[in-house]
Amino acid sequence: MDLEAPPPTWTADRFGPFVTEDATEFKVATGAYHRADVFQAELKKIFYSTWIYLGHESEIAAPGDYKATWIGQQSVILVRDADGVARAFLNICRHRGAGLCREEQGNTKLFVCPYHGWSYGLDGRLAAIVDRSRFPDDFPTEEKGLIPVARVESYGGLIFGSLNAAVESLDSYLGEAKPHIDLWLGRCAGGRYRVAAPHRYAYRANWKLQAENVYDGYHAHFVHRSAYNTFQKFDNAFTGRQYTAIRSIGQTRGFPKGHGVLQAGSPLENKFVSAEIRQQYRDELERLNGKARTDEILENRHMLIFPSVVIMDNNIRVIQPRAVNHTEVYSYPMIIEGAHDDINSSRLHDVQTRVGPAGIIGVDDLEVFHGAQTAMSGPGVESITLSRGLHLEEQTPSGERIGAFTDETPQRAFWRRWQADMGGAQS
Amino acid sequence: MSAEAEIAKLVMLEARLLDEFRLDEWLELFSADATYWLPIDETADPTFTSSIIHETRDILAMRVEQLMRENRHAQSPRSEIVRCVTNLDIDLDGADAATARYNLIAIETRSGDWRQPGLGEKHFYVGRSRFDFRRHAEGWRITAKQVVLLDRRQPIEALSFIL
Repeated sequence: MDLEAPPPTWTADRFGPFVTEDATEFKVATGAYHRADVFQAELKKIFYSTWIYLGHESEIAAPGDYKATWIGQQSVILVRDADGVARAFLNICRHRGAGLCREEQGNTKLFVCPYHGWSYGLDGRLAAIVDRSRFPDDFPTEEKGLIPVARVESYGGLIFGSLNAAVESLDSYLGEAKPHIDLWLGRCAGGRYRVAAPHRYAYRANWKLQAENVYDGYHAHFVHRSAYNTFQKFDNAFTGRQYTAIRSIGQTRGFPKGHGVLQAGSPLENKFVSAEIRQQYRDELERLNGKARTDEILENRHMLIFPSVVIMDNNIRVIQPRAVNHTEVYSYPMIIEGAHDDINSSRLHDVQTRVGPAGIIGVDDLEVFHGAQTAMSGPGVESITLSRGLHLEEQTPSGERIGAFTDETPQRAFWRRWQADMGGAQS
Repeated sequence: MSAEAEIAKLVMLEARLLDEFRLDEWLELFSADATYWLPIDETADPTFTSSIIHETRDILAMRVEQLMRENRHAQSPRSEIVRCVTNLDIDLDGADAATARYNLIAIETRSGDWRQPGLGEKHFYVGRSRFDFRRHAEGWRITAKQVVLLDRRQPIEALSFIL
């Protein structure tokens, strides 16, 4: 393909060769990370066609609670209506196109346009036009409600929206990822999650570099060596885990829908919660779930729901593409209602100090993304390779693939789905 | 020297040690029970509310160790920073406690091959700083440092150094 002169218009078949795979190698063309026309196609074929995470139920707990968020480059309002139904609308007045909502969150009875005062109910219906008399008698006011996000569905408190009315059900979309979400929900020990305010960070590179990174068990010892060496010097209080260059336990999973999971084979723990409190929490989990399932619930697990939301042990990360080379990430610490204060404080501070905006670990990943974007945007490099474990991974009858902790199994699942969405019919 | 002058001197020293990456000496300015806080919501309890950073001296010591004696990827090349301390206002509370408030403008850049994304840009950190001091046998120590950044609710880019 011609790297220096990207075609001005997108066609479905042009994206076929971006991902190529045979028995010896799995390759992704670098244009997938830096070409502006690819980014525009991603918005249309992925972000505006499939399910995108909008928020957690606890962010809009009461009627009138709203949150401004994004589907691709479209500003969206997620709101709890008077009947308790979660709804989502495009953030635009039907009159002259003004943005309705300029706050990131709040509570309201009506959305009132700042331009000419048209107002909308929480169900999206046009409530009032200022000085209605100057509009024709049969002006179609009933058609001038807020434009709904075509589909809004939720699973386990996670609310997703899609601009595509014909998208498959969320339940079907989540598919094989659901048992892993259920395990994550099990950490609440019968209670519920409540989101804390997000940690927000940004980087100057493509959104997929963060997506590929969240379930990458191969990079940690190298990129994050400075952090791990430091943890060891401080009695390993921060993660309670010995680090080796290549972790020999744990697994990776890639699903046909494009989702993927990294499982460490042991819990992520620290020494900031006393043994007694930790045991109380574990006892309660065992009472509810039995020992074997409790071990599964507490296993350190990172999961990406294609394309852009990540569920980690203590947080939900939302990857927000702003441009082909500009990405924002919101990381919401998840507080467990009813859990001991020390457990919740530890969960929050773990994600904050480790992978927050000034994270001892996370910021080093961003530096790698910057370097990757630099080189991949230039001529002369056709592709990168995601082949680790390609010949060794196990495939189940459902199409799920299971690799070692350090294999690139979930990344390949992501890219297979990406190619299917970008190139036409899904395989 | 008056207590007020001692505090003013210490405020300037704190900024200079950070600018010069003398982080071991910087850490010594803090009491054993000190906290360091870059809030997102300065009115909330940082124990259960997200902050950019909210750390005790123990965790700060980890940051200093990583920056001074480990090869941190995000600090290679290293940040260069100029801090401007303005509108300094010092309140003494008896003989052994004091508070200092000032407006901070910190400009940070990383050179290296500065044409590459992530390098060569100037990042501006503008905020309201507040320090609490307590007099110990060995002199004044910082018991709390807080910087309320102007853009604390917006995405932060690459805060891999100590502000």
